[in-house]
Amino acid sequence: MTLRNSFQALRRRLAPTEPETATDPVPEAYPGQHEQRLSLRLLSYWQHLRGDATFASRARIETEVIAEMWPWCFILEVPAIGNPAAARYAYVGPAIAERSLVTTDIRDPAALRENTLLAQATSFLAQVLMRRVPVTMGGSFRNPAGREILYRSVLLPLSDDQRTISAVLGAANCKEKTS
Amino acid sequence: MQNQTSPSLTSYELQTYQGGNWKIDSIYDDKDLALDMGKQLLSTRRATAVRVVEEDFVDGKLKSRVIFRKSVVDGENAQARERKMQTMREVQEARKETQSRVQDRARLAQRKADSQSFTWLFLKFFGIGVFGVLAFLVLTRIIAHG
Repeated sequence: MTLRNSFQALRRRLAPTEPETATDPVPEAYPGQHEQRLSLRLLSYWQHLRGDATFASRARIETEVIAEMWPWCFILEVPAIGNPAAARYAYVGPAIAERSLVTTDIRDPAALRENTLLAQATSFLAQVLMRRVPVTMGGSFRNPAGREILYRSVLLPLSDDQRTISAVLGAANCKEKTS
Repeated sequence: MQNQTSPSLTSYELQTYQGGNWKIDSIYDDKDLALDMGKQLLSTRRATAVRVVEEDFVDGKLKSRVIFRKSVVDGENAQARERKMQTMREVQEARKETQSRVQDRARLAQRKADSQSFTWLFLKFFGIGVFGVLAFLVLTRIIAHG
């Protein structure tokens, strides 16, 4: 056995999840991970996080597990129940920030222009806080450049004590409508 | 005044059956998303039964209807029913076969009995005939020497 073959065998043993061939499927880190639609994928992750509990906990979010979605995600902290206006961004992913013409350090949703992806994505926050369940919505808007944009977003309630919704995890993606 | 209808607002509630009650799991504005998520919850066993309720808000009135319902036991019940039907078919076939064999045996026995009774009848008549002839010969001898 050559030194190269020995090294390759050792590498395979150390990385058991690495597919041996191109046809070997990569095991899912959570059910629904291979779902193509971002909203359903993040919803599946939230379902996986919450287990048998009512809500997922913000502390349990592992950004490396959802690395491909994280740039499109945002987290809104909700300090007071039933007061969506008091919500503040704790995190805004770079991809969604860029498409919303803001920087990732934006905090106040009121600073957003209405016809941007992030503003549209959080427009139904009140419904999520009232119904206390995940909500996904899609639609279209005309962005500041005058282009019609199709989007879909999902808002997922987070709680640390399983009673009070302390934050909302969200994600949204979009594409330009082609006539 | 022209009566104008307000636009319809349709949403889809995905509900799961827990502890004897239906609970809202998530809300969608797209039916296919709701259905796909419901099927995923069932396939991953996160729920044992799901349903999708369409809620339509038209002219100030809320109308709800269940557009999808499925449980993990639906498939198992269908399989159990199929197995039961298969068993009943096999039992019926076995019964038919048994009946046919019994009938064949009865026919065979009947034929045997018939041939046996015919043989005995023949022997009886033959015996009676032989006895009659012998009796006739003896009587004629007695009368001749008498």
